[in-house]
Amino acid sequence: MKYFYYPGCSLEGTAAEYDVSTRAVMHAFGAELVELEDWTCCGASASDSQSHLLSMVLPARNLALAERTGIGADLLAPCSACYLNLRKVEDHIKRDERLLGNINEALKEDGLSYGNGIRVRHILDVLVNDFGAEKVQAKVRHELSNLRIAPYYGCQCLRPYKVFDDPEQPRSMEPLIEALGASVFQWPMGAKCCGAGLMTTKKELGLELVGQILSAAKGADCIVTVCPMCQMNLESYQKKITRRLGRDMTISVLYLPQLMGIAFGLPEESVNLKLNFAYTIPFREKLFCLTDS
Amino acid sequence: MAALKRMAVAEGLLIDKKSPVFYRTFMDTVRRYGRVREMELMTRYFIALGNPAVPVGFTPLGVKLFIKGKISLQMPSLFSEGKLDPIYRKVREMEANS
Repeated sequence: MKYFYYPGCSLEGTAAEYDVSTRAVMHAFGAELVELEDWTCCGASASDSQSHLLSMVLPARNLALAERTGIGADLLAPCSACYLNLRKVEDHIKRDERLLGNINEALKEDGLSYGNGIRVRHILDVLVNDFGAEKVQAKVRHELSNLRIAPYYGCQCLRPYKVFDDPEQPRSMEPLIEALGASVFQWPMGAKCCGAGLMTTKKELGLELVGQILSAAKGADCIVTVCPMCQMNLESYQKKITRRLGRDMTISVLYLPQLMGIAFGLPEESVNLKLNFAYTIPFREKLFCLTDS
Repeated sequence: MAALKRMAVAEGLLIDKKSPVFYRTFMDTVRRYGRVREMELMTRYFIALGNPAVPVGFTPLGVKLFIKGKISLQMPSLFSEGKLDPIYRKVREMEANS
């Protein structure tokens, strides 16, 4: 199975462990990732507030790069913001008959054109629907039994487009977690917003939202995410929120492919847990105990 | 929502300037390099805000990111042609004519 791979800016830096673990897990499934040559930023959540056309042209540039190769493959985006931006190009082209022409007029400046022929997929969609729990279970070398995992989806892989899960009450991660031998921590916060970029521009609100999520995760061993922004928000401010609330808010936060990589028995460098900010000693001891058995 | 944001920025109706400053700085970084450079983005964002209290709140996270090697110092390229200049120019031109 072959996919175009669009890492996006976060996976080059602040979410490097998401990049390496996604590549490792996809490799473990025998999937080939073709990274787009010369890919550029999708515009994140900034472009739409500046220019609607630019917010379409920036992701379309990457789709055009994929299409130009002539390879028939879906485009895999692990970052939820990138996924949403790339995905919305298709949706807006459907709703605005002049848009594709306008996009191509702008892309011509870069020697590119797009025919709207690339299907964009989120990593969670691919893991659930192209591989599924049965294939995941078959790869498990170290069962994560006794671990209670809180699945956290965030917003952008679920909304506004209903593609692979219920946008308000998602459950797609649950069979994957169970296939790893772990149990699912049932909580109502999986699809709640972490504040995303508000942590930069309206920090007080961001801290409040993250505090609500971390509070609700009490009782879980770990939160798993599928979005670099969610991961950053949930793992980076735990000490600050602990001080504010006067109770311990620390909990390990891992990317789903990292957790899968551990269960698959992949080498340490394939999951790179050294890069996580929230990887607690009790959780690490539980993992080591399990993996040594 | 995005249309409302654009209108608010265009009409100067925003009370809090942090979001538009951040978005504008972000998009300018992308224009220059094609991809985000976090260190330069945040440095320019803090300078544009002109409030020394703001970067203080981000210092602990910045230090953690730097120690983990997740952000790095790169020489800025402020005066050469940006990676996405032709596309940005064309979009501006098309929007001005629409």
